[in-house]
Amino acid sequence: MKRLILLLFIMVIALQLSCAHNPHINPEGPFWKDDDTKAIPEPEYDEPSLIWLSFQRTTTDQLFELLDIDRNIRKISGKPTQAKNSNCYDEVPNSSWFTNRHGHPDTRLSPEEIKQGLQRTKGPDTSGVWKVFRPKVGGATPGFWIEDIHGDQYIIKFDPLFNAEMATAAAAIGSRYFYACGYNTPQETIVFWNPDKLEIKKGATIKGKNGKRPLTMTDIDSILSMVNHEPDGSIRSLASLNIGNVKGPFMYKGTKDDDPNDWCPHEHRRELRGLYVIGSLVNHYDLKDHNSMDVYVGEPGQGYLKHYLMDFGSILGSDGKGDKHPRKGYANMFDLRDILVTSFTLGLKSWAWQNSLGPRYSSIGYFESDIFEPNKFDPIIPNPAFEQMTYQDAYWGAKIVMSFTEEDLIALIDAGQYSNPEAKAYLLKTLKERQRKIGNYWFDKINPLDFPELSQSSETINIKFHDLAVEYGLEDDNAVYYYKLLNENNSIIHEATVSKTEIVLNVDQFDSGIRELQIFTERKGKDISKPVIFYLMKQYKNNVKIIGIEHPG
Amino acid sequence: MRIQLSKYIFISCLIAFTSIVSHATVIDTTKVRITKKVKKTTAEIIGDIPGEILKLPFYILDFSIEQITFHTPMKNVLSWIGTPRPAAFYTPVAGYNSSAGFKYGISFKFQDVYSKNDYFKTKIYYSTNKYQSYQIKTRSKDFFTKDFGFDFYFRYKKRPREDFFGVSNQSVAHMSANYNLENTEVKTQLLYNAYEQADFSFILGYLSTNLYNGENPDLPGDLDSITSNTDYHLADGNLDDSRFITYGMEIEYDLRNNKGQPSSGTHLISQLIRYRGVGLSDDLRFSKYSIDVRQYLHLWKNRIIALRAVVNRLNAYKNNTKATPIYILSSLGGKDYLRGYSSGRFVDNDFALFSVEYRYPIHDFLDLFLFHDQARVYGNLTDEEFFTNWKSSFGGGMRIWKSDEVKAVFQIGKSNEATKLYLEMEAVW
Repeated sequence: MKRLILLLFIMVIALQLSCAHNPHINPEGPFWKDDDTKAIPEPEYDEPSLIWLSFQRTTTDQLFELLDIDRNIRKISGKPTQAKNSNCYDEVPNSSWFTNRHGHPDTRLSPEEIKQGLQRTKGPDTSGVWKVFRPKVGGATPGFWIEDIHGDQYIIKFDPLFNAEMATAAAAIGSRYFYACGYNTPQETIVFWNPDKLEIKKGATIKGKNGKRPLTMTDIDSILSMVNHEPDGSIRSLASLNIGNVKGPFMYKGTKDDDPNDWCPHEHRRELRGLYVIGSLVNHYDLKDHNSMDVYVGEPGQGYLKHYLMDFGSILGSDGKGDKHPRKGYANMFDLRDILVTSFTLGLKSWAWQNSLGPRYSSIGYFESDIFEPNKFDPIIPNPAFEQMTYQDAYWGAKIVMSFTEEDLIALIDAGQYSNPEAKAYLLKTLKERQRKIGNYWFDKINPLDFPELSQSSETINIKFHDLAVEYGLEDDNAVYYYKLLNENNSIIHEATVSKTEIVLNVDQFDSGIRELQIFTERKGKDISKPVIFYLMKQYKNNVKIIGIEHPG
Repeated sequence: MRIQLSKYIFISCLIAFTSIVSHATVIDTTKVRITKKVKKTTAEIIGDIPGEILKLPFYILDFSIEQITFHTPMKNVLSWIGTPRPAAFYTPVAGYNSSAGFKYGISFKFQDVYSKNDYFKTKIYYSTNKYQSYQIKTRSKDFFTKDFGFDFYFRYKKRPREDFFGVSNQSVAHMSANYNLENTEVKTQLLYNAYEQADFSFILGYLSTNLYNGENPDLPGDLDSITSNTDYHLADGNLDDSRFITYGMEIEYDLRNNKGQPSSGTHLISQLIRYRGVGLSDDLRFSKYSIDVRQYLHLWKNRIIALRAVVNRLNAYKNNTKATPIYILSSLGGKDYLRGYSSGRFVDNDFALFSVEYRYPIHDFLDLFLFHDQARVYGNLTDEEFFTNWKSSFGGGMRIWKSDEVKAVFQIGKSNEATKLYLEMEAVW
């Protein structure tokens, strides 16, 4: 009986592994927008306990994963669950989570646009009075909320006392970087202002030991005494525009019950899985559920939830309160795996970050590229979406990371308004080295041929594609591409080798069925790659169309 | 002209045609995907069943821990572990040993009370086996002048289940008895900071001790029957109450790189204390001296070898008419000296102890360590063979620390007699 149950179980799993339809094919071509902005009732504010969630992510979730038989069998069989929201071109459609802004040949931001970031206002107006109406609650650094003369509300955050420019620059760069990558982020502006502009708004309160009491200038002065002042008495701060009707953080796992638009489990969203790679470039160690937010956009009953990343003050070498500990970015806050390995090896196993020489610039903190390994990046707590990440998700993230040119990176760094040119140069060098490592590592796992363009004449079909490894300078331009065209029975119709990123096929090699064009890359000194697959189909008026792209890992 | 026109028409048509049949991976956001909730397939649901059954206990655990973490005292404890201490704070006192059982209490510390780095501290604890302790301690290293300060210490303790195995290194484990110790101690020290690493202190104190029948029902506890049992090697006066005035001096030489969590350097503490009996003990006089040397060797990346050598000696005056009480004698066993043995397992005039610990960090605030202890007691250290009949133990444990201060130590010691578990909120060395 036991054997029968086991056999049935294995059969079910095998059936599941073999019978899934191919999500990479859609005869209509790729969808580039999800309809997840339909009007929904306004959800309640919901924020789980940070302590509890950290515990859950670090311990019980890890145990649950070990017991997830379906996932483990998929992992062992080399067929992990792929992201469920990518389109047939293996890309992410625009949605309330993500907007394709950079990283696609026909969709790019200019360096000026990157530097500017999201700009709904020009930042708080320093020409008039700032009315403080609430102290900042939570987070690593002190701060308060202000309203400027236009009535725009901002949260004002500061640098640590001994690390001038560090947290504000990190946040300004981070918000622009993740915005350019496609995520929703708040508008964050570096602003220099004079403390005598401050006033307390009538009715403003603060939570004291004995409950709420009126907020006073003494409270504000005590906050300002903890922050760095410029030689002229002004204060450099980060002004984050009030984002609106916040409904609490989104979780990196499951869906939100009271959001009917939330159709895809978050751990199976490509943009959240690929965020691992995107975050690793800037060492966004603090990528946890609580550094996100759902915002209800629109009038009550007419709006929808938009999903934001926030709080970038702990990227690069910043820890918000000071320099980042060298371990951060290389291990979780409480990394059971590392702890067990160190424990059982009696401390003989040591970790590369333990060789850290410490930060070079106080305005950047500890941020390096020498020991950085793209697949060893670890956020503060285990992230369920990252743990589901496949090579395809990582490749998608790496494509976006690699799409930043040197000019783009300079524009990002300029947004940080560092005063020390050496620090800026160091940051650029470090980012470029990390970017190169990311490209080398993830493009090695997936054949980085992408963005095909098809043109057709009466007799021939011409397919041009991009070899991203060559385009981004990771590989020499000496690769040869072996390709084969297969019919629906997997019989080879045509095969050849070309040395250019262009393949010419005959129209008569096509009938009404789907053709599979598999392209392999052979580079000097390397094994032949896995294929990239372009699915082709002859459609209306004999036009051949690319109906899918697959990057087997 | 006609040819020219037809040429342009042809080119226009060609461009139009090419545009129809050319396809690039252009982002066209007018193509909207109608989304549907992703639901698990039947196969996925079936595949999840065994895992879900195995997870059931963890769902219950999840729920229980969620309730605990939402509870305010637990939040306070967690925040206490994670943050530097304020000027005045309460901390829980917790501990466990086999005689006392679970200790619980509270400590209040007021830092920088007279000047920087001074403190006033009170500590109260009880235990499940009715142990109790009330303690006040205050210390100011520069109270009088920059280099002269004081230390005041008061403690009342009652320990109803103190183990006793007899006097001598040959005492046997199964001969254990117990007694009830009530002890009051007042001690003042004049502190002199001779130079940066060296402190001298002059000690004056009073010590009052009463013994009662032990309260451990599993062991002999009647003092009269213990006294009359020759296997314990007791002499007249060994189980008497006593009153002493104490005076002496202490030298502390501290070359550690960090006082809370040292990774290199030497730490030496040496004491010479004279005990002069008063009242019912006016015929007793003796002196005790001890030297306790700790050496910390940094191997690599905070892997540390910690070494410790302790020698304790007690010299009774020749004119004494009674023997020194057992609770004054040097004793081995317990978390401070010779782990893995019961507290007070070996008692005699002198002892020598050597410990070696290998400490290695496994996290920002967690160390593991392995240790080996080797020790013995002597009637007279100079008259007996120093290197024979040593008792040894080994074990390991975990230290939780934050801001260079050890906050808790959990350790297990194993000897050929017992396995002992220790949990303390402070580190011995």
